[in-house]
Amino acid sequence: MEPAPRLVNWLLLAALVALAFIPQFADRYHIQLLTKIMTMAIFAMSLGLLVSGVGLVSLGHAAFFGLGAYLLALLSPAGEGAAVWWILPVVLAGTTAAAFLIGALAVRTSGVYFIMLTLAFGQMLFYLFHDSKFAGGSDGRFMNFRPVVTWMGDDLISLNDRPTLFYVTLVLMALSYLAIGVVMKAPFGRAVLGIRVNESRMRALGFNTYLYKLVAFALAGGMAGLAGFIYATQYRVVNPALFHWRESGLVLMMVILGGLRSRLGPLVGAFALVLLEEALQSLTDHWLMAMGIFVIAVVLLLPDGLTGLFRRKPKAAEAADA
Amino acid sequence: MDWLFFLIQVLNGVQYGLLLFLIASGLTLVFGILQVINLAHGSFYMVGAYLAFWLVSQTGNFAIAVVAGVPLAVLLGFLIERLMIRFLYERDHLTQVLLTYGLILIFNEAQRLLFGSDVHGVPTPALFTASIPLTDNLQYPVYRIVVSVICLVLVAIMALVIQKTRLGMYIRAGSTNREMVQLLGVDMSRLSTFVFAAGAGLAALAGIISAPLSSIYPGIGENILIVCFVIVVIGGIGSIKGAFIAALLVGLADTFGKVLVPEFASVAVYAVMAVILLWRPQGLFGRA
Amino acid sequence: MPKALETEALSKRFGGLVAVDNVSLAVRQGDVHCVIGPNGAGKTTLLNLLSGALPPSAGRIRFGDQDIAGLPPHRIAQLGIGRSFQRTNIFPEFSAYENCRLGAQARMASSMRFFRPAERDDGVRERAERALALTGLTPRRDTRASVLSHGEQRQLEIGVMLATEPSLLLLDEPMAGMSADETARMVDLLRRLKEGHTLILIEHDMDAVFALADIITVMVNGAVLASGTPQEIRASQAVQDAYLGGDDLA
Repeated sequence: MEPAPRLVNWLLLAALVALAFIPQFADRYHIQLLTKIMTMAIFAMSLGLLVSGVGLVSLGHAAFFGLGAYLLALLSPAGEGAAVWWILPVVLAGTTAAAFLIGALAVRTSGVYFIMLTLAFGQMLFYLFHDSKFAGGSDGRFMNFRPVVTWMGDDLISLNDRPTLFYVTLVLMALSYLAIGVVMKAPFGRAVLGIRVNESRMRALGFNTYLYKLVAFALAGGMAGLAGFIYATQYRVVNPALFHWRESGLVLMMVILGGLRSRLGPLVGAFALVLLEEALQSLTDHWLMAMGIFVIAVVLLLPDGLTGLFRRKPKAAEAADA
Repeated sequence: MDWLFFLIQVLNGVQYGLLLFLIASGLTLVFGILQVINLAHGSFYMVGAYLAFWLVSQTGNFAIAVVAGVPLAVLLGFLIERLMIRFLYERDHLTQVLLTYGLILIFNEAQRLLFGSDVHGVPTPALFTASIPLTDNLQYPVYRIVVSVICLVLVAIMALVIQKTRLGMYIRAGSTNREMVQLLGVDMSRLSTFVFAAGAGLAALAGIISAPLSSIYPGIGENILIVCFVIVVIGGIGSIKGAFIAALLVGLADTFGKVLVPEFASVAVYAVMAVILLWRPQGLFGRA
Repeated sequence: MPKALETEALSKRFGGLVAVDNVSLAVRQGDVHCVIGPNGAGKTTLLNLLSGALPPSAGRIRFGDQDIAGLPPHRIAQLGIGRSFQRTNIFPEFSAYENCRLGAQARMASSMRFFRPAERDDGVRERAERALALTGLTPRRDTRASVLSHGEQRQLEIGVMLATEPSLLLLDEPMAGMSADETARMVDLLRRLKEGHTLILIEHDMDAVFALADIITVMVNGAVLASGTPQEIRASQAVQDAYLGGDDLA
């Protein structure tokens, strides 16, 4: 992941401002759609942190997205909305802890083993929630009330209001983007980038690479949990499909579609893929077929993703070892 | 649990494990020799199951399903290897995962187009509908035994081919050191196509012969794929022997999980995997 | 003189093959201790045991007052043992500076810091710049490592290690594949490193070895054949017969 150049930052800010005006004139459907896209963008960024930050390809990342959504739905009281002040930290802590446990085993491996292990653990959670009565089985759970943001007993902001939820999601997306930027510039981020490029050398230099990869995995899990939290807040319904590896594959696709070499990649990819999904769904009932063809075409034709289209061609000597 | 009941569960577990091995063996060899992670391998199982459903409903003859279905699946495997997988040899795992993920989407949607989203069933072949009575109310269906026997025969043939023939030697060597085998003058390209197509055929055969044992539904291939991934991980990538032992282990864990802890049956298999990987991160027979 | 590192009956077996056979070495503080021997003598395996890349099958490694045999590589590196590799092992996508900066960062108590930019740490930055200067790469500071010349990459290989500020350096054929000019520069660099460091050096270039070494250990088939000053080694009949006498004496 390279630092975004200045021009890109200005463009990004402009896009953010433009997004902020959308609820002024867009209809319900489009506000909801954009909220969902921004949620998926946070989800995709969390996976991007793993894939392009550490070089770990996880095919089970939906596990933490689903867990975040389920924790919110299961822990919310039946008669009223849970206060964000306690429920959000609990959900984040829960998903981070789950990622830490799964990571402790998965991060010991690499390459194909890592892919298959994350896939397997993701499916394990899928079945756990699919088969267990406490979580509503295959139907999932409905959440009666959205979480509430209160101050001295008064509602500060209402997440029931669509535009408000839109803005909250927008802010969280921007914060996530900035947070990843900060972390990747800090010693921790430098260390994991070094691990992506040459792990054995990092170990020889004195870095406990296992620990850094594990912490990155846990952080990415927590961030996916945040996305799951927003998702459940928006739709108020959770079901085991959230855990499914199809979701993991889809979010991985967003990261790749956007481009691995840019911090913006997952954001761009989330917007592009969800919009494409909407467009295809309105065209045909068998849109997944078209999606499959699209996925294959992107992989074969756009190895650097969408953001790669706007990148200067690297010099031959540099390209050779990239 | 009395011993007879226990015996039945063991038989069921072994039968399920043998079936899983047919699929997992192809998967592990494709990893080992082609160095390609093929998420779409489970789709061949699905193809087999639906072929069985279609051919049996057309002809009413299960034997035709086996005789016609397996070559069709081999042909399909051959085409997919030549047209797509080929381009993945030198690409990274990420590319392989996404491309074969795209393949799954296409396969699944094709299945929905052709057969819809309903659950289907295939009747047990007339020859094997009998059951062996064990006690007054316990009996064991003959067809399950037939499936186990077919699998065992295939395992024996595979073992013979891999241990005793020149082709088997190449396969063994290829899963340890691809470059070395190339240097020996073996046409890796043809070997790869063969392994892939054979794996597709085995997976489809598993789908066909297990069709009368369970229902056929959309997504059937993915569920079995994940279990086979678990088997490959437990056994160690590229190891046929590992896949065999792991498949039996998983088959038994799944069967006994369903009996002993029905609430968490589907988690039992993953628990086995977690324990084995804590002990040996590279799998039972994997190279570190 | 105090010992920087001692091994006792160190062995490494791979199945039936004994790669390192009962090796006992005593490396004095501040020495350049060269290990020579024909290919396959077990020199690199010995370094891998010392750096923790491989766990020994038997024996002890005493570093300071600690037995480090079998510790993981990152623990050994943190104790102050640096390692450079025979095949250049750097971060090709990063600049020369960032390569050294990572080495310098390894010396921090922990890199579990998530907020302040890494670049703001003066101590780390200075260590990195010092390593660049020492290896003569300051003019190439911002060049991607992958486009550096072979000789420069070999220097960077040493620089990355130096940035971790180790007290004991394990160097695996630093002159491999170098031109005469580059070799001379490397010998010069290693001579400067003698100040304040102990060096264990594997090298095939005999001119460089005899120019630098305080002690030479000759390994054949995984075992120590002889060990002594360059004069003693040159005079040793056993070494002459087994190794130096042949065409290997370049």
